[in-house]
Formats: sequence, C-alpha cells, structure tokens
Amino acid sequence: MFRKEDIEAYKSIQAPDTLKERILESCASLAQERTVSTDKPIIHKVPAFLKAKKYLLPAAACFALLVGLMSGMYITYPEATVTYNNVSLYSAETTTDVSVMPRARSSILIPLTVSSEKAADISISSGMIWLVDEEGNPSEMLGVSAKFQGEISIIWIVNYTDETHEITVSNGIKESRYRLDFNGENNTAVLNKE
Amino acid sequence: MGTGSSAEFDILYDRYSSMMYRIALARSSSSYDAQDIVHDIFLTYFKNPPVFASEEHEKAWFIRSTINRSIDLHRKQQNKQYVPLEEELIPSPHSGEEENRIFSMIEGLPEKFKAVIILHCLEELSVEETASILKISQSAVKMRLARARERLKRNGKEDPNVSQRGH
Repeated sequence: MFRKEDIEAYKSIQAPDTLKERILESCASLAQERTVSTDKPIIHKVPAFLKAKKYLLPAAACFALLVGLMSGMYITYPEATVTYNNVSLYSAETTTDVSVMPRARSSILIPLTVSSEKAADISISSGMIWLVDEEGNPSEMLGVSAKFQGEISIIWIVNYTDETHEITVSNGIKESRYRLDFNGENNTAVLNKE
Repeated sequence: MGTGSSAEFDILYDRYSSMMYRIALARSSSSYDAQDIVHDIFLTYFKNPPVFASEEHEKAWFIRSTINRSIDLHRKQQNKQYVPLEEELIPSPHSGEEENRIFSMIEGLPEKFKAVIILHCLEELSVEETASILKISQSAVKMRLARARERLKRNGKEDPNVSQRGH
C-alpha cells in the first residue's frame, strides 16, 4: 500500500534522546516521593503549629465544649482530615505548596493521607487516585472516588493543566473540599482548602 | 525506580520507545504530544508494572496503551478546540519528505482504519498480531485494510506505483 522508501523513512523515526532523560527524571522523582513517604511516619495527626501551642489546646477544648453545651449543639463527628507530607490541610488559611514533577508536562503526583473516624467518601474532579501500601508504593487503583474509614495513604495523579482540580472528602456530616491550583510560570502547584 | 530497575527500563525503552513514538506521532499533531504519550505510558508501567504472560503480551500492552492514549488525547483536543501558546515553538514532527507523505496519507482516515494501517503496513506486524493487539478478528483486520485502501484511492492519495502489502 505504501512505497518501500516511505515505510523505511517511517521506520527510521526514533524517539528523541531527550525523552529517555525525561522519563528517567520522572521515575526518579516518583521513587524520591515514595522514599519520602516511606521515611516519614504515615500517622501524624497533630499539625506542627498545634504542637507548639499544645498548652492552649485543653483550654480551647473546654471553651468549645462550653459554647456547644450553652447553644444546645453537640459535635458528633470530627471532620475528615487530609494531610500532605504530614501537614494537615484542615485550616482555611492553609496554603500548601505541592511539588510538581520536573518537566512532566502532563501529570503530577500528590501523596496524601486521609483519615476519618466515620466511614467517609473521597472523590476527585479529575485524574486518578491510587491506594498506597505501607512501603509507599501504589498498590491499588481506586479511580475517581472511594469509600474509606480510618486512615489511608493515597496518591492523586492529576493532569498538569490550567484547570482547577478538586478533591472532596465527606463523612456524611461534614464535607471538605480542597482546590489544586497550578502556576505555570514557576511550575508549582498549591493545595488550598475551600 | 519504583518496582522497576534501571536495567529493565533500558531494555524496555530500547525495545518499544521508538515504535510507541512513531505510533503516537502518526496520530497526534505534535512531537511533544507524542513524547508525552510515551512518557506517561512508561511512568504508568513503573508505577504499577503489569504482569505479562509473554513478550508478545508485553509488546501488545505497550502498543495498545499508545493507541488508547493517542485516541484519548485526540478526543480531548477535539473537545477543547484550543491552540497552545507554545505551538509556534514546536518543530514539525515530520521532518522528512517521505515521512510527511506517510502522515498526510493516513491523516484523514477514520481511527479504526488508521490503526490497522499503522500496525500492519507501517510497523509491519502480521495480521494475527494486529488483530490480537486491536482485539478484533483477523478477518476484521483484512476488511479494514481493504476499506482503508479504497478510502486512500478515493482520496487520490495512493500512489499507483506503490507496492502492495498485506492480504
């Protein structure tokens, strides 16, 4: 169907040398992220800044309970929490820089730990969620949503586009939304709670 | 490198990267898109390496992944209808005259014809391999090849002096 010289020309096309380097870099970044998540303890429920203010916690808890009792409201379940590199993202003021895989134009990987005492749902607006095993390796593809209870470690793989992506965690009573914004100028991304 | 090793990567890269790149290039509009497709597939492989029963199975996985991702990318680009700012900086992926001829010939073909043309006529896989990779019957491959040839003739893109390959 085609001339021999056309087929030979087609088959002479080789993948650019730079592509191999790029893939190796991405694989190295992936391995590094896995190492980081392995080295650090997976369970880290108390954010660092709260540790510094640990003496204020009992007083704040008593105050909150008092206010709750006075207003006839009871806190039944705590909000599901999401942490990135062991830093909780629960505060509205929290702005967390997310490392972007170098030169990987199409996707980035965000390691997260999600915990909820009550059965909860996690869902994403785009991309894919992978469950991570104890060694930090992706072990099971969860897709775009999953149910969980307790604490799980996941990797959120999302396309590196100008669009805004969201991850939502809901325990049936409270819902938390986290927005991922990319900054193409300096190749960074920021995860914010909405 | 995750669960894969550097030596394993070298072997897989040398074995499949150029073929994947050509297949992606034949279906995408830019060299960068084709590179992204190959990049993403290798990364997917090393994140969670599939278990293959044979080397043919492995080869089929890489080719099928390339085709599927190319189709996905094409659909996304069709839906968005945007022109990337960097496009002016992207060099033409089809530098040679012969390559240009090949790509322009198959450019207007429907996806299902394009796949059999690329795999059977250009990558020179057998009808049996092509059928296995595309998960269609061998007679369907032959049928699509015949229709693709008719389509190319109708479009006036087939050279009357070209050699015949296939069924």
